[in-house]
Amino acid sequence: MDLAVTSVIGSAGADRVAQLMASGGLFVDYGLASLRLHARSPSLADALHAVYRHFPLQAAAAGAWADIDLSVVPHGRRRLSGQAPEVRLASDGRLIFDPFPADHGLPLVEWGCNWMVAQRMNHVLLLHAGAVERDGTALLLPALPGSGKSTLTAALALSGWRLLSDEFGALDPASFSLQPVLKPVGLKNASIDVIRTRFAGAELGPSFPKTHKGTVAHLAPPAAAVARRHEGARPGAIVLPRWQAGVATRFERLGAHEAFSALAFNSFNYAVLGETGFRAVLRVVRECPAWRLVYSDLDDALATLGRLWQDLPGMQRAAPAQD
Amino acid sequence: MLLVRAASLAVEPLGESWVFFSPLSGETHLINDTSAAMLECLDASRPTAADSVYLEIAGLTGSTPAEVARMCSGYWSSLVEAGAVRVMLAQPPIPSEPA
Repeated sequence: MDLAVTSVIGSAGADRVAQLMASGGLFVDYGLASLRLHARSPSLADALHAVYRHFPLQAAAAGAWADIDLSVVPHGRRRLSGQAPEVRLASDGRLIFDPFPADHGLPLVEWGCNWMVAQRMNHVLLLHAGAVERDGTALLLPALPGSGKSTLTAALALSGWRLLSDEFGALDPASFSLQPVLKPVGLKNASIDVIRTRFAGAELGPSFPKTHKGTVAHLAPPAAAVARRHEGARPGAIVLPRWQAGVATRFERLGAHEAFSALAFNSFNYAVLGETGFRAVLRVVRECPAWRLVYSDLDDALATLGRLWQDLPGMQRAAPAQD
Repeated sequence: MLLVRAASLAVEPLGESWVFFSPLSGETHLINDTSAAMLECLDASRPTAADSVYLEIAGLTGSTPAEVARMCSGYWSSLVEAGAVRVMLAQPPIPSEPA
């Protein structure tokens, strides 16, 4: 691929990000997939500069392949009516998604990119799950929206686990390996301050209030995870997390049929993959023990998962990572 | 009642349950031991009488065929709806002669 890599986005400056987006496009390599992004938006460049700070600054050469091609375009009619400016998202020349306020470019790009990954990346099984790795083995965190999956994934990523994704458990059925889809972790509402308060070093981007999911902010993937974004990990355990106010931590073993349902029927493309997807999920639940984690105390949840990793059969023994 | 199991049906044990995938319908279903046993007693290449299924399961479990029939009665329709089983007519219909 003909790409010019000059530095990381964080050190290059937001102006350079803006310049690339406005010319041939900013190229972002997530590991499993790549993005070419076109836009003329200083506020989007500022936000990208913050949450993609550890990614290489790459300019896509003309004609170079990117799995996902997105353009943030002005929603012109709003200007005529004097209303607040909005932008739309286009992929391969087609408009996708409803318009967003012009200063909410980052949530639009992130949600749009996730949607495109779910539409396009059918060479892997896309489980709706957070995924992190430690000691060479991956933990899958499948959950429905609102369960606290992203918050727990972010906390793990800031506690010595390697972030693979907060949204996609991208399982390659052939290699039985979870592939990183390394994007900023989307945090919502109270979770933003939970992470900001608990982890002083958390690199959070700007907050975007009044989205359809409330206030959202994004955690920049740690530099070590970015550096290893082409390195998969074999799944070793499944934990279904659910945050519930005021409860004592409960960590309960799940039956294989419950784990199967949580993975297969909560996948983006299980039906598309047919028997390949069926066999892949079957293998995951047969090889990976599963638990349900209900918690209100994030530190207690992290400690529970740390103990699990120490006790998991077959785990490489390594010194526990520090915050 | 004659029954045929769907071709290429993948039925797999899954902990205390079972799961099957039908390449024809693309559907996946979690099933219990009884439904899995019913599917095991059927063949994709020839029809099997429901009574034969009850007899075979009764022989395995020590129940009477009548008890097994009662146990299975609620599951046939689910398996048919899921595309795992097809009910065959005992005799093909005879076309009426043209008037």
